[in-house]
Amino acid sequence: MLSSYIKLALRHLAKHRLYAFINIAGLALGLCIFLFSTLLVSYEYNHDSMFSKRDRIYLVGSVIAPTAGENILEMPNVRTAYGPIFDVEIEEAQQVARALFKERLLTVNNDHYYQGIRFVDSGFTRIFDFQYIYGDPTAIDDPRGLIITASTAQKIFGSQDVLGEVISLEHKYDMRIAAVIEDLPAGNSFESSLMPNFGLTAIASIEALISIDDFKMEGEWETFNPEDMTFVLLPENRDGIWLQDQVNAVLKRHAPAKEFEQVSALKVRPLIELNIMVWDSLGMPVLESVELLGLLILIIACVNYTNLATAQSFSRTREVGLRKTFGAGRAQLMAQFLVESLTISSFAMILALASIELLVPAYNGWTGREVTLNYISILPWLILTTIAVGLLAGAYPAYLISRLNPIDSLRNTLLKGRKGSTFRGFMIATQFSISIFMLAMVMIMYFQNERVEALSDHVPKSQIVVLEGMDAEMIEEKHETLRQEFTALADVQAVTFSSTVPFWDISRVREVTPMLGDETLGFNISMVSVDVDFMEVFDIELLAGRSFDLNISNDVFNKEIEQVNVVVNQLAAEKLGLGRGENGGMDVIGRSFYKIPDEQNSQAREYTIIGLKPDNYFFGQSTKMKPIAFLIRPEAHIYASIRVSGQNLHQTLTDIDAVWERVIENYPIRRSFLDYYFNLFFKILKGMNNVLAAFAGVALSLALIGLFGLAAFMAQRRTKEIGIRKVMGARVDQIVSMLIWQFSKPVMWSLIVAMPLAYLASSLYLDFFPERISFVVPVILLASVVGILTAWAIVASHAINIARATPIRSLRYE
Amino acid sequence: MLKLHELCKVYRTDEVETVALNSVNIEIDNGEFVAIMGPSGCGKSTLLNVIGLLDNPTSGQYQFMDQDVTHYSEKQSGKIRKHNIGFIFQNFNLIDELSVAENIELALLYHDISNRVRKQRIAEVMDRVGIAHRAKHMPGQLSGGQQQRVAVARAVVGNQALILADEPTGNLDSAHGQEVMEMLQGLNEQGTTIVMVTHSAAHADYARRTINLFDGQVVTESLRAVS
Repeated sequence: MLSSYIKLALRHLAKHRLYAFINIAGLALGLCIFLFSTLLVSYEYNHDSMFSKRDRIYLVGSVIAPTAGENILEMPNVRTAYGPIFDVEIEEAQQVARALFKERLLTVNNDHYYQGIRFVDSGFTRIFDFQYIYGDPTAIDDPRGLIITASTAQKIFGSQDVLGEVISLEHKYDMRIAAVIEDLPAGNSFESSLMPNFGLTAIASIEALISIDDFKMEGEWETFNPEDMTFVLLPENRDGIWLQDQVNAVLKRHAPAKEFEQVSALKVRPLIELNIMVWDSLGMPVLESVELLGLLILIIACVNYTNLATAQSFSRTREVGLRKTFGAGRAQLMAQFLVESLTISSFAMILALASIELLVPAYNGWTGREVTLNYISILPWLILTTIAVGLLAGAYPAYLISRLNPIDSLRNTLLKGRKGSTFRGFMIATQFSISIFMLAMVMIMYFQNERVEALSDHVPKSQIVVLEGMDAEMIEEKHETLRQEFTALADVQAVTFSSTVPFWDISRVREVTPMLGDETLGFNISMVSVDVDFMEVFDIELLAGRSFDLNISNDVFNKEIEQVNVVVNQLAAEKLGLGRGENGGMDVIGRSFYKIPDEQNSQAREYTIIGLKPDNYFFGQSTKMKPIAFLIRPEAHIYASIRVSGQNLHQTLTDIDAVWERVIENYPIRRSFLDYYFNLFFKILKGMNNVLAAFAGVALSLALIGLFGLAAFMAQRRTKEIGIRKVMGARVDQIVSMLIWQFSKPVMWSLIVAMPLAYLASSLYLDFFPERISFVVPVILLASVVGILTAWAIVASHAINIARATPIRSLRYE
Repeated sequence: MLKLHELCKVYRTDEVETVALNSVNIEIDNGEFVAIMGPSGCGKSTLLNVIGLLDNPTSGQYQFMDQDVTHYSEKQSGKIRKHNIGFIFQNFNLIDELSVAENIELALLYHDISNRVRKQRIAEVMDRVGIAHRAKHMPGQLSGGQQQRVAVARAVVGNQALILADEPTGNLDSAHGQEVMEMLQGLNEQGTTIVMVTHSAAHADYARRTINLFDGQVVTESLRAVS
């Protein structure tokens, strides 16, 4: 019986090739997108399988307090002060280790390499079992021992056999290669999809960092670097709940009071969740959205099939009537049609897998990922999906057709009339709801991205060359020489040094108060160290007051003075209770605020406002607007920003490189345009928009393909009616309008669901941004109009052909 | 074999009520060959559908093989049809996607018999009706007469006791029509009960008894003299 059903299914497909193509191609596309999105998400969820102790490795992260003013809820890091405390107080932990990622200079024989190095506690190599080509985990016990990966060894030394080779760190600290490890395979959390440049390539002891930087072994409570991790290896008999209790106790006992304004709690997570935490730190449910979108696409494809199969089933009523006449029961008929549906879903799955075989390598090549298709492990899931799709998509048509009364089936009375039109309309409405919803979201994201980009145009990003690493001792001494030499170049307009640059929030945070001694009015302010040329380079026009003047001693910070002059932004002035610069800013200029002393730094300091800067998202739109104070503090300068005219850019860059080589020995230049910092966050937004656009394009295409097939089928059913109407005098445009209207109704219904859904979803999305577009409703209306117009175009393309046919051919059809 | 007593069939819509059969009383014995005649719309096909358990009467009683099947559900009716009743339709009603052999097999597909026995019976019946040489052909490749022979084969392959034929020669020319009638006559001589709806008096003469319907009622019954 089964073989006869399959044989019949194949013959039906061969006989009705157009519908077979639409059905199989539509389902295949839906399955392909669904499978691919699931593979991608599964890849992100299943990192770190190369570490044998993965199940016992935990990460300690921070829950961000609402008062911190951040968009994100959780970070995969804690203050570096916690590591040593955990090591002492959580006695049962097998290992505790911090891993601090820093980019530092390695030098071998006058060849210099900026290298991302993980400075770790000794437990790190006991927690993570790397594959050692040379050396072993004890290599890190030597403060001068450096562990490098095979590819790093190849890059620096031209060979992997480099045990014992001497290498200089920042020209200050000699190290030797103590171990060489295999490169970590892709799918490790050290190299997340979001942070691909932080891969594990070199490991050194934290003691090396202490020797070259002002880092202290006991850590500190000030900064929060996303790349710094604290790991704990649990004993066999303990779990995450136990660790959470231990960590909570440490927080309670040791965290300074002001810590709770930034971090409300600590949270432990198993290593397997680290990569997901990195995604979560975006503040948007990206992976969940990708999964959901893939599922929605599959639903659209299944709905397509259901609708078309239901419509086509009416042409098989005679067959059903006959089978029932000869004794077929409902169950047997349902089984027959479900087998046909499963046959189609099987073909569709094969086609989908063939497409994925092409898609995955292309994706891996483009992204550097290693998403793999392990058929053995996913085979049960593939089979289940095929069966589920075949059954779900085919269930309704099978149910409907098996219900038919044999006598009505034999008379073909069901072929005449509008049976099932409500269901078909509902299905079309479902497809278009999803498609129009996605289209609306794509447009909203696009316009919001445009707004984000427009808001960043207050700074000429492509005209500012940024140099990093200006805080290295040997470079710091040469700041003024560099300034003079760069400024002398023809196309250079100005040069400035600072602790950060626009769109890159690595500022220090200080707790300040407008009233000396009154901590109740305290709030956190970001401190950005600049120089006199900063405002000019970044086109910052002050609303009131003046910029910095080197001739005024209090304009330059030094540790001895108790009062220093600052420029603040409007939000800072507002939080200080001074207004936002109304009355020409006179209420702000000359006023002071005070640093609140803490356990680490008990020195009080007065900050006097000399200038008021407009609010314009200095750190970009990835965070809420922050109160900022700018001051001149040369020892904190990490970046040099060179404003160029933009003419002869290639020559200008060559000249900049030449100046650098002349002035700075032993440190390669690290330069980029300010664009780069803006794009660190913006490329994520653009990427999300592009991905959603792709999904929306597929969704709408599927809906339109289904509509095309259905329109063709329904027009065929109405051939006689159309012929009669034409004989009665109907024009082509009247026939076309009649056919278009039949399908317009469900598309209109879809708007009832799509529009409110799009409004809700866009509100949630736009909540992430401090500045958002205000024209959401018109955009949603636009998407709806696009959806309707494309539906009309598809139906019209078929309707015109049918309507133009001579009536006698239509009438002879019967 | 079957008894209809005061049988009525009324079709009702929101506004119209049509009495298709009105107090019909008919008894048909095993081995009879009965023709049902009457003008268009007199209820012939409705009567055949009720007899064939494709439709339920509105009132009255229907006994088939000593069972009261008047109010049988579709499931119960299907069981009886499967084992006892074969159908031949005016427009053949062959499935275009199935071959000749597969169309005949349709009548045995839902029986509890093995593949081997099924294939054997199909081969036998194809020989009987003279269509074995076209076993693998599709209906579209056959003439009208050949298609109706396939339909006849399908109706008899299950050794049904009763054959219901609804204008079996309606779509055929006279030569093929005669062919089909002779086949039916042959079946009847072997003991199969046949009830046939026809417009043709000539074809009605093949039957032993003719029932004339008008406006849903039996108006006359006549017996053909045995020669």
